[in-house]
Amino acid sequence: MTNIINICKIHFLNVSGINRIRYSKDPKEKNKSILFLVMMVFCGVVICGVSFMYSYMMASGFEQIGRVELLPGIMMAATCLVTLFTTIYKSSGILFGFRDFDLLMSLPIKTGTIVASRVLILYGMNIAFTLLLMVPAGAVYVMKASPAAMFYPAYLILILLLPLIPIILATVVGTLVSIIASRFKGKNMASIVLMILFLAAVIVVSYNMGNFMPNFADIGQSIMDVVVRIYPMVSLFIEAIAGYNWISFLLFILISAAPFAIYVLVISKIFKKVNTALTTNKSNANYRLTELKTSSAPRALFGKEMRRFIASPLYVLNTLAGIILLVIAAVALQFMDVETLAQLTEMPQLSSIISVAAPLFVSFTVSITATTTCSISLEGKQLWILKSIPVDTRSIFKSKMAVNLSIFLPAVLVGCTLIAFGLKLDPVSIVFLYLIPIAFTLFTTILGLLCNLSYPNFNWTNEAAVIKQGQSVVVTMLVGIFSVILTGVILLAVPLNKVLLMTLVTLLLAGAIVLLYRRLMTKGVQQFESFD
Amino acid sequence: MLTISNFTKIYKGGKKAVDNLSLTVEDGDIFGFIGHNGAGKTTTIKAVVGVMDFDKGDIAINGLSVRKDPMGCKRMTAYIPDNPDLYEHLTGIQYLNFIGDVFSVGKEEREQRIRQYADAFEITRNLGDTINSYSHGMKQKLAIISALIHAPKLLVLDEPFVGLDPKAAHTLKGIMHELCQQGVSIFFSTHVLDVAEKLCNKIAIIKDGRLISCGRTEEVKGDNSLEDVFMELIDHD
Repeated sequence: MTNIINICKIHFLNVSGINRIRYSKDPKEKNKSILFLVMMVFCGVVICGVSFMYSYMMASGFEQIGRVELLPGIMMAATCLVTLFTTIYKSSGILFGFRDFDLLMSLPIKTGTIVASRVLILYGMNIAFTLLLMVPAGAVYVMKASPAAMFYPAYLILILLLPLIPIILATVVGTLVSIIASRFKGKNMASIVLMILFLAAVIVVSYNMGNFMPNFADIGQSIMDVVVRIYPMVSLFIEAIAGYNWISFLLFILISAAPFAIYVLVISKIFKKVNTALTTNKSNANYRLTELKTSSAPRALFGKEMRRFIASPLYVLNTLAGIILLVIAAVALQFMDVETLAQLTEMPQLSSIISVAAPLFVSFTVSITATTTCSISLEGKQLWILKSIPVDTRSIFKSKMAVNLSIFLPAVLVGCTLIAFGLKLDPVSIVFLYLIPIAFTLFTTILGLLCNLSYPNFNWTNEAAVIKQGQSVVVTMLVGIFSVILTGVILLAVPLNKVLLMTLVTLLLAGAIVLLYRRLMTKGVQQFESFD
Repeated sequence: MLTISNFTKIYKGGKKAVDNLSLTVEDGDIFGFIGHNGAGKTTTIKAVVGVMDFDKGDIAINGLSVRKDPMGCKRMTAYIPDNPDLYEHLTGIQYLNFIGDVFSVGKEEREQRIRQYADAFEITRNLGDTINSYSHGMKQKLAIISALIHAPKLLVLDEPFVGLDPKAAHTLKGIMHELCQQGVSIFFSTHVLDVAEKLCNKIAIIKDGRLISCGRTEEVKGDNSLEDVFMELIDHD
């Protein structure tokens, strides 16, 4: 047990900024870590607040039809879906293929202990999010339904068990994808394609589920049926906490805990084998030196960056999340008109604001991720190469930005063209449909790099630590989303001509891009050159 | 070729890693830089190759200041760190080509040098494999080849013999001799005192960030072995 706690503690110290806050002798670095911690706490509070607000709105709807007990059920299903979605490509870096595998396995610690600690890390990451969503939902339920005293311990126990089944499903899918992909010649590409197919399926299912949730007119049992059909554990959950059904309560625990115990046992058995398979690389040793192709230094840097991007399925998938959403929406719009879309989203006024909503939606999809948010950190221990070659720091930055732009700009152009066709927008709206998302793409690209220069991490042991959980990734995403929301507020709330407003917003974004670019090429260069 | 003048590096928190270090590496020198762990060897080397910024003093390569003209200095220099962390997702040949491109090495010279050094280190057949399939020694060999393909005037190596098998170490020593005959300067750190004694025409010993001995190998060691001199200086200076 001590070893499990020790391994978890070391992992936590490694990925969090706690040690920098406690031991850094550089006040700047210390302040940055404190600021990030404050931001994370703020995010937690915001997630709690949003969960409370949505729960309250839903509960009010359910209250009218006398079915408040549906609230925890729906929130539970949503939490499990998010857990599944976020864990699916996290599991490979945490359970399998992590960099300190050799070190841990060489220590006098049982394999079972190492597995237990890795599973606990995975669980810890998910339970934090589960609590942020489910505790406010529970509070709303208490306010609306005034349940009996036994609700409280039952609810607490069950929400602690909530992430277990999604973790199992996510790990199984993640591992299967790795195993299937390893049979292909281009295993990284195969892994990326399989993951994209799975994620697209999850998005379609969640999208369909989203359509059912607000339809209070259909009410009662039909909503329940749909949610239960997607995730049967929901009915047990509702019966246990709202119906005080002990059998459902025990069944829920059994169905969550028993497969999890089996899962841990199975993982223990295959842990070494899978990790060895994932870390062993095929060597052909049959190369014959023939004619080499030469290229310019900028092209060589771009090629190196692009290869780095493609080499990591996690990096690709994390980047493509927004693009997948954009493509699905753009394709779906070919089969529905604005009125249908307004009905589906329950926004009757949508047709009047579609010229503003469309570029905002595309901007959102390109602002949530960027390859640049972790491209400096990903240099890791190889940073010395970039620092010692005769290449200007600005060229290095440009190559990193070029990768992001070469991925996002074509997606924006294709997505916007499809949306323009699907929504049959007028010519002026089409111009802004392209301009605003392109501006946001440039903005996020530069912002991502600047954030990574301010929050670099070169000592990662698992690339997920910088690609998914890096401070710069979180900061860029938050600033990106906030900027899109702010743009939306300006465009929708300011009582001025929309074309004038969109022109103004585009100019403001252009100004921000110029300022950020200047900062990148001055302060950013100094920051990069100060890295040892 | 390399002039380090009053070089001082202070780490965040005030620790002086290197204190007022000055030395000169002439054309064709094989200059050994020795010292105990944490003495300041890697810090000095990283500052020479432009990986690390520094506080006081100056470093000049062939008359160009590392601070004022870092690109000019880097074009003449090749560096191999103590741990060959290379781009694991690239194949060996892709990595060598990348280095060839950023140093603008012509096609023919590039092919000729890769063939020459890859054959010498018996790694040609592995160049088509990704670097993550390489052993530590193979990565070290690849790092050495990448340092040589742009024909540097100054070769800076941090513990170059660590991880190399005896044959590869012998090949490297041969290449170092050959390069120094062509006027290339080599500045390298090592803990292998026997190698330093036999290979280097000049030696510098660093202790706690300060240079405690520097000169021609025979002057530094006198009638004793380098190991004896080193132990004496480290224990009693």
